[in-house]
Amino acid sequence: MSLQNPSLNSTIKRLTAFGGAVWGDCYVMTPFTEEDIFAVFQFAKASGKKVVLRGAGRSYGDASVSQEQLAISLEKMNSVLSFDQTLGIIEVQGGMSLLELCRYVVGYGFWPPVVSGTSRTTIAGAVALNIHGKNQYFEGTFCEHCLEYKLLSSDGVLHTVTAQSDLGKALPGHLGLFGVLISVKIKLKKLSIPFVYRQKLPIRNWQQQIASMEACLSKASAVVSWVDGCTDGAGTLEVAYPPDSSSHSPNQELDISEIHKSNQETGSGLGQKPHRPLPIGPGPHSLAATLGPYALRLAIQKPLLPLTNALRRWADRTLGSQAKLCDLYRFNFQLDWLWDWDTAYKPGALVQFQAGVPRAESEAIFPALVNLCHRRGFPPTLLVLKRHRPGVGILDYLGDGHSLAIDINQVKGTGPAVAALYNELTEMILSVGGKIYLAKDFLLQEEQFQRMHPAQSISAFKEWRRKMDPELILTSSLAERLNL
Amino acid sequence: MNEKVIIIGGTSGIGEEIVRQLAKEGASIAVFGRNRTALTSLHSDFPTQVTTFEHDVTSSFNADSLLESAAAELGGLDTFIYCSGVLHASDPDDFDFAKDSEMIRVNLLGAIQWLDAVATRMASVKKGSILVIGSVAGDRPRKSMPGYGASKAGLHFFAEGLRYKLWDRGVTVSNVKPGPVSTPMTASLPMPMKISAEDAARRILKLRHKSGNHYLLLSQRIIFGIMKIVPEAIMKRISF
Ligand SMILES: Cc1cc2nc3c(=O)[nH]c(=O)nc-3n(C[C@H](O)[C@H](O)[C@H](O)COP(=O)(O)OP(=O)(O)OC[C@H]3O[C@@H](n4cnc5c(N)ncnc54)[C@H](O)[C@@H]3O)c2cc1C
Ligand SMILES: NC(=O)c1ccc[n+]([C@@H]2O[C@H](COP(=O)([O-])OP(=O)(O)OC[C@H]3O[C@@H](n4cnc5c(N)ncnc54)[C@H](OP(=O)(O)O)[C@@H]3O)[C@@H](O)[C@H]2O)c1
Repeated sequence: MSLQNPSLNSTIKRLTAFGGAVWGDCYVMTPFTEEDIFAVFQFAKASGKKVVLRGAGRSYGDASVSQEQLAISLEKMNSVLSFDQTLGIIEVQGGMSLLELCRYVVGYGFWPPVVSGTSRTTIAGAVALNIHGKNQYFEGTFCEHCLEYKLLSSDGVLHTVTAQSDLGKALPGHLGLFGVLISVKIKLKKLSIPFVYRQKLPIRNWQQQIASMEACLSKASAVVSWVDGCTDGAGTLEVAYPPDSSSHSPNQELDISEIHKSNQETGSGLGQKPHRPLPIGPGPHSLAATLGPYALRLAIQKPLLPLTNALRRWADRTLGSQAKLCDLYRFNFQLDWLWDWDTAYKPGALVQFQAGVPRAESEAIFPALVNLCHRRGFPPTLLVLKRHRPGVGILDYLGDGHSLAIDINQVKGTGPAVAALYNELTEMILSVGGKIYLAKDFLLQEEQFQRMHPAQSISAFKEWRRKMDPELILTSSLAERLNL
Repeated sequence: MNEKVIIIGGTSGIGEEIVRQLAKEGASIAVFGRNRTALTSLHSDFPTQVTTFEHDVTSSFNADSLLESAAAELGGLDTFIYCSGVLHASDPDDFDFAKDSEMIRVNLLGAIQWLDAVATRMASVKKGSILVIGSVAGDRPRKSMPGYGASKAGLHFFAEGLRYKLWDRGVTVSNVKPGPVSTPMTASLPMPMKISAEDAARRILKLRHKSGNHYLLLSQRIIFGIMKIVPEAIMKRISF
């Protein structure tokens, strides 16, 4: 904390969104206590500045970006406050990452019920966007497993908010605009082993994508499809089954008790406190993390993209079509093996367009979106398809349907062309009653946003924001852009 | 996003041209200088792009807080330009501390005070471009301008040192050394081969993100390259 220092100059940092498409420079404060946070609010009021809340910066959009304002990062407030091992209820500070949480609880036989595709998301960031995982259809969104929040509003009041209270119902997806999430109590999921059975099914086209996904819903515990953007919807449907279910695969019988035993022998046993943190996932200095982005940079080049995708599908078909045990880290956070893989898109940027559409529209709209990307000269570098049930946040983008995430390689100098494409994609989504995921967005216009969400939802959000932060000290580029 | 620029000394000659050309490119610019009339006219020519700050670099000021205010007005900072300068050419019998110290204060000390603040910010952000306007006069001392030459030589040294300090932090430091340019500064000085302020500004702006010491013309690079090795015995006899 350098608030005593009259010059803020040396605290300024560039806050870049994941993918590098949008950024802003802010004076970053890293408080240790709630008093420190309140001091930042007071300083902001005295100096006429606003405050943006910053998690791990894993949003692709401008939700945690602002220009020349103060920023609060809770990176030093990342501890476990309490843990009831019997009930599986843990209270952690908002700055803790999903990776830290997983590492902490996995040894006790637990896992967060909902995680994002990256383990680096913070708990506060997970609540602020009400994130979802590959299991959203089955487990819902992150906040559906939060029991209680501690929220410090800009007037210095620490609110203890139960999930059932009115404020508790407004907090999922509050975009960091209601107050600082100091801590969250989460109900964890009990595991028999930290594995799932994973099966990778080759898919031929969009029609089959939707149908196959639907077919596995009754038995799976998570489902996601990696679609090849250079084909008419061919790809790999990745299905997870609970490790103790017999539904995964008739041709593979694995003895769970054997795995359990071998885990205990190797020190990664469950139901007991491990002697050392479980070695899940590589760090930023691993070989994969160092070399991966270079390989990826080559793989996403336009002429090579069809080959890259075809190779990937071939590998999935050859190696993955039988259900195999897969640890939860590998299943959930596979992109993290390459750590800061968005650097592969430099000196350009990675832009992600992610939209949710009603089930009946998916089969027709998704190929149309992808075709448009091709026509505008931006073949998607990655397409991720998920199945959803309605979300619980006021401005949630999820309904009973699907979401598609489209990765776009914004080669240097093509910013305006990508913005134009994004606008066209948005209009197509609007035409079928779909919505854009704000975690990924920095281009949506206020007027489009108003067409996307019911007027009463937008005004409910605005009312909560003004009630919790009447002077609108909390801000973000997203909040200003959409006039929230 | 449009380029966000702070320029110290953007109210006359080369600096004013830089502001006008940047504004035409779509940049947002915070202009510092003493001349209120010039500041007002720049703002009224580009009301949405130019913000102005009345500022004397020889006064006592807090560069950190001025920088904060200007960057807040601009919504960021990409490029910083230090262009303020005074030139008092001296006659053979003129040994004037007041004039020499003013040149050191404006051309060198003012620059250092600003550059320290800007370097702190840019090193922390890990991005940015710094451009200083040096002079060929700083390459080799001359009879007619020992004080000016010393101030510009000092500026060259400081900028080069800063460049070494910042090279691995995403910050470029460009030191441009113009030769004679037609501006109010040189209006009364009989200088050969003057180029227009407009031409100088255009050439300077092309170099604003390129780390290094730069001349504007090849001919100047050659002439002043030779000047550096001319023996003292000859320099004593050259009158310009
Ligand atoms: C590779 C990758 C995969 C992803 N996969 C998924 C996925 O599967 N599902 C999904 O839903 N999302 C996914 N995301 C998006 C990501 O999970 C969300 O954007 C998430 O919100 C990022 O959290 P963060 O900690 O990085 O916070 P930031 O991105 O820094 O901030 C996110 C929001 O949290 C607010 N905030 C930060 N700290 C606080 C605080 N202490 N109190 C209150 N508000 C705060 C910020 O103001 C901002 O509004 C993915 C992102 C990446 C890069
Ligand atoms: N002209 C040339 O031949 C030539 C050659 C090489 C290098 N240069 C350099 O180029 C730069 C610009 O020169 P120019 O030819 O354009 O001269 P100019 O027309 O006289 O402009 C000088 C600028 O410096 C500013 N300045 C002077 N004293 C200042 C002070 N105390 N505080 C703040 N700003 C001050 C002036 O602003 P205010 O008056 O508004 O304060 C003005 O904007 C100078 O650094 C000069 O040394 C010029």
